[in-house]
Formats: sequence, structure tokens, C-alpha cells
Amino acid sequence: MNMMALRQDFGESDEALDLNELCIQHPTATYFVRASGDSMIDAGIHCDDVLVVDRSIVARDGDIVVANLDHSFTVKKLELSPQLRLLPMNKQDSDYTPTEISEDSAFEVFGVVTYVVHAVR
Amino acid sequence: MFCVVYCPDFYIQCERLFRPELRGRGLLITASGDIGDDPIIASSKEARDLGLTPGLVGDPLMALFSQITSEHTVTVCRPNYELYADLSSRLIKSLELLAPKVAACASNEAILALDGLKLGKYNLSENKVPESKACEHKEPGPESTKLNGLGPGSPYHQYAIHLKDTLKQWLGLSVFIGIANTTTLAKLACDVAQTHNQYSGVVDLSSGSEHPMILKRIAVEDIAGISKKVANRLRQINIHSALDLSQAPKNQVRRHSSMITERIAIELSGLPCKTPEQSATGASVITMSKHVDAYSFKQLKRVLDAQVVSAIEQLNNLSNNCNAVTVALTITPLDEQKPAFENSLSSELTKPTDSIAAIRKLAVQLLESVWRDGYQYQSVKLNLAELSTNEGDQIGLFPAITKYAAVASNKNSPESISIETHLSVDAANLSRQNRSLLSRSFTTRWGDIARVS
Repeated sequence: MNMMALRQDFGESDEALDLNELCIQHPTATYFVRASGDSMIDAGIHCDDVLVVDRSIVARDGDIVVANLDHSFTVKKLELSPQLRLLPMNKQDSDYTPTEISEDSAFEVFGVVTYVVHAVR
Repeated sequence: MFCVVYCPDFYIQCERLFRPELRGRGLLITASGDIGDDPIIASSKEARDLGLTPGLVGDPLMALFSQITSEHTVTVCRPNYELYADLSSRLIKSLELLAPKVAACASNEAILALDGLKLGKYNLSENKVPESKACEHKEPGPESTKLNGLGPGSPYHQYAIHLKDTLKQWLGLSVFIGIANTTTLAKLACDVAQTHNQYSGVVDLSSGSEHPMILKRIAVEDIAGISKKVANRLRQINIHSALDLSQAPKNQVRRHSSMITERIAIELSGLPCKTPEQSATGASVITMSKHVDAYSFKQLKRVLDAQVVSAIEQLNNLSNNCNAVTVALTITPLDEQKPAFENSLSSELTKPTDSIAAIRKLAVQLLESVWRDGYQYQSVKLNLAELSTNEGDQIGLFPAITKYAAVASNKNSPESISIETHLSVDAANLSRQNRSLLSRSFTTRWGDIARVS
């Protein structure tokens, strides 16, 4: 069987794996953001990684979320109980401490991080 | 059953989605991102409260702007059509996932036909909206509040609340929703939802019993499709409110105005006679006319600019393209006994478009040709003609995806713009507290996506 016949029998591009299909369940509700800093390094999020953020998912305790806190964006682990907190994930650096969300802080979950796109070289 | 979904302050909401620092403060969008010759395309509620309404241009705008003190920070930015188009297409695509049939009327408004919708899961007995509960800090849902007379019980109402919550969660956009069994009524319901806070953004006229109460409060001229002129004629035959129009003998309505008004009247009485596609299109010519008392080209150009903005808003409300532009100037005669003299010029666009840049360019060129120095002008008229439906007549396939110049429909734009005062304000002084900026294309360019730390 020559290559032409193979292509005809098995299709050319339609069957190719599409990363979008893997990473994006809800296209209309998915946004990309880029990470800065290394506060989430233990979650596998490095500086300059692209995060896939799905807004259609309701955030649960322990989810990694992009949140809008006092008018700026941050990526952290969400803790809902016993109290609302945003936790950094970097054991090496003790400078990163959890942020408690008080009643009067402007806080909103922008979306849940579902995938991390990290370049290894 | 029809449902109208309208996203208010669309450009402003888009800008604020990825720039939370702009929330809760004055925000203006002008073509150049500066205050001067460009009219305001959109303004946030905070800016409108200071008098900075869309369409405002030139010296009155500069004068108002210079009075703004430091406690009211007003940010001016350029329109980021790439961002708006992406969110607009997300809005329509989301609606297509949530409703059986969607017809887009503008980049921020759509009519949904709900026939075939499975309402089972929106029954009151379940007493909660599935899926889309926003997680924390959620305001008490409107389903728990008893609305005066408007029972929140109907499954359609539950569906609309679900729709509103879902769009807020998925896209971060707030919408108003009206439901009724005709498109005209659904549009009115949506307007009422926007203007009356007590309905929590959703007005449901599906059960029929609440019509009179709501229709009575709507003046005839506020009904979409009824012009001031037609409204005046209707008032002469004692039709003052939407309720009057819905109850008036239909042949009388037709005799005093037109078939179009008759159709609106029939729709108001609850009998559907327009498909969503028909509601989404309509007029064949858009005319803007403004009385002025002006000599200079600059003054006239400002009036024309504002007219272009409003005309394109209408064009986009109709999801239409325009093929021909006419600009007319009426010259005040030296001898008052003689009639005023009108000079006009028309030209075709190279291709049908709804692009503000293309239409404005042509309109200004026409003005340059019509205008003669040394005359006093008393009116400026702008006419967009040969309207055609956007892109292959495919209703529901949203056109603005590739057309970044689509303008959101804006219900807050003033009808007339005063150009009486001519103060000269140094534009450089204004930039002290206000930086002009163009937001990044957060959703369409890799280099522009938001940074999170």
C-alpha cells in the first residue's frame, strides 16, 4: 500500500489529535493567562507558563484558581473551609504566606485552572 | 415563546473583565483614546453620572471633562474591537448552547426562540437553578425574592435566571433578559428589566397576566420601531402607552400610521407576527438629522461624527450593512423670505459594510465636498441607505467575529448633541490625570494574555 492510498483510507488531518480537544472542555468559557513568579511551583506552575482557565467550572475546595483580589489577578490554591483563604504552593520559599479573604476585600474567583502549558526548553 | 438577552455597557464590561482595576470608576471609550475631536463611543455608568454620555463630542465634552476633579478619576481608552468581537462571539456561542434557536441582533443583543426547550429541569419544585451556581460571595438569587405581581414561579422565569447566571459565570458578563410570547413584548420586557431594578434583571411576561401593569408604564415613543413622529400621531388618537396601542382597534392604528405600527400593535397584544429574524432586521434607510447654527467645517464635522456613531449603532442593532452614504447641509438663506437651500451629495461604499471607520471616512469626504466657506448652515443630515443583511443572510451566525468595527447597541446614547458652547480647552492639560490607553487583546493574542502572579 503506497502513502497516497494510506492517506485516502485513513484521512489526512481530520483524525489528527488536537490539543484543544484535550485541554478545553468549554471553549466559550475558557481563557488563557500567563503565570508570573514561582509562588505555585509545587503545583507545577512555573513563571511564564500558560494556564488554561475554565470559568464554567464551579470552584471547589482545593482547586487551583485564578482570582481577582483587590483589583488584581492572582493564581493560588483555593481553600473554602474552615475559612476562605488563598494558599501559595512553594515549600522552599517561606516568604509566601496564605492570604485570608476578609469580608471587605474585593474578591472573586475568575476561573478554575484546568491545565498548565509548560515549555521545557 | 421568545427571549431577548441584552448585555448593557458591553464595551465597558469587556474592558473591565480583564482589567479589574477599572471597575467601579469612570471609563470612556473614544476612537483615539483621547478627548478632542472624537465622540464618546461608550461610557460607564460612573462617567454618565458626570454627564459624559455617548455621542458627546468636541468643546462641550472638553468643557465637562476639564471640570472633573481628581476624586472622580475618569480613564479614557481606545476601543479594542478585537476583544469585543471575541467576547461577542463567545456570548452568541454560549447562547447557542443554552437555547434551541438564536438570532443575533447586535454584538451585545440576541433574540432566542424557545420552542422545543426542555423546561422540565427549570420547574419550581426543584427550587434551585442547576449547574451554574457561582461559588462564593453570591448575592441572594432573585428566585428567593417575591417580585411584586411577577411570580418567579414560571419555568421560563427559572430558565431566564439560569441563563443570566450561566452567562455571568462563563463569560463574566451581566445581561438583562425579557421573556414573552412575541419578540416585541420580549424586547419591551428586556427594557423594563434594565430600567427597573426590582426585577433583578429578568422580566417574564410569559404567563400573560402581568402585561397590563407593565405595558401601561411604557410610553409609545419608547417602543422599539416607533419613531417620535409616529408616536405624536398615535397620541392624537389617544394612544399614549404600550397598553393603549395593544388594545386599540388595529385598523385604526393602520390608518393613522402604517402597517409596521399595526404589526407592533398586534405583537403587543400577544399574537406573534414577526419571526426573530424579522425583528432582528427592519428599516431600509437610517436617517439622522440635526439642527445647528454653524459656519465652520469643524463644527459641522463634529455633528456629523456624532451622527455617524448613532447611525452605526442603529445599523448594528439591525445587523445590517450599508452600501450608500448621503450627507446633506441646509444653508440658511440670506434673505429670510426665501426658502432654505439644501445641498447634498451621495456616494457608494466600495463594498457593503458596517465599519465605523469606512463609513465615517466617506461621510467626512462628502461633507468636505458639500461644505462651502462663508455660509451659515442650519442643519446636517446623514443618510445610510441600501441596507443589506450582514454576511450571507445567516441569522445566528454571528458577523462581528471578523468585523472588529461592530458597534454595540447602546440604549443610553442621547438623540441630540448640543454644539452651542465653544470653549477652547487645551487638550494637553487633560492628559495630566487621564492616560489614554488601548487595552490588550486578552483573548486573541498570545503576547497579550493577562499576567497572574
